[in-house]
Amino acid sequence: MNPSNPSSSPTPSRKTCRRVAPTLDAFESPDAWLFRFDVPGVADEGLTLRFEAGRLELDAAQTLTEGWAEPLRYIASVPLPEGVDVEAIDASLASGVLTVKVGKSPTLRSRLIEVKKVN
Amino acid sequence: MLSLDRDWRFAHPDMSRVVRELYAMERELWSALDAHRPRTAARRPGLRERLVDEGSALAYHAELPGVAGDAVEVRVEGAMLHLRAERRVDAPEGYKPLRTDRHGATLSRAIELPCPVDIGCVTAELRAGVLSVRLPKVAAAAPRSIPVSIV
Repeated sequence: MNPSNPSSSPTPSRKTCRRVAPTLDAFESPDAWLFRFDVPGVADEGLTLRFEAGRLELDAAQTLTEGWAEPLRYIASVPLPEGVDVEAIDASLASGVLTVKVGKSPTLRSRLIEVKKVN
Repeated sequence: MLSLDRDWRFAHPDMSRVVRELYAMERELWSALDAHRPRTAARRPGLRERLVDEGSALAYHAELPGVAGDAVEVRVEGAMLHLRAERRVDAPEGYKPLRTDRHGATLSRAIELPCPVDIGCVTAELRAGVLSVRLPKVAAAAPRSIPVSIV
């Protein structure tokens, strides 16, 4: 590869990457939602995740498949129900899987109501 | 008068034209609806894997998201590369599933290597869900440039 020629650069710009939707799992508990996205070959620096207008927006560009596979750009836009606790969103990337935990606002959390016995 | 035995579309010479027009209207309607559908990205391709000849070595790569390091087995036997990878997908504790597209699976591969490799020098690593196996070729199989003598 000729380094002086930008068109043959080994890491193509994000625009030229093919966009694909990652496979996704979604779970719910009384306190939170949990999402898992398959994003193999994505490093921390290629990944952006934001919560915007009630949606979870994922943009993850592959950088670790260089030299053997066309780099993909994982794009997902997940609509979230009302009642997201914006301060309680945690994300972690491990083994090519992005896990995002979205906390529910306290008003939405389920609580077991104790029924008093009246005799 | 329409007969039930006969295809109703041919009962009247104009009927097939009407049907054609109806189909055309339906297509138009769908394309109009498509224009308003949010643009979704294409689905992620299935397992991507590749054996690459890098000159002095062969390299096998595969995307294995969610596969733990201890769930991958790489074995070289003669001219064959054997792979076994297991992906376990468990629901997190205390959560109920809303949508599960990711599945647990076992991948088994037996790949015929195009040239002999130095079995003692094979290395494998799993990084961000990508498995890379490097298989250096034996000296006899490594590329060698041959000087051309002009006669």
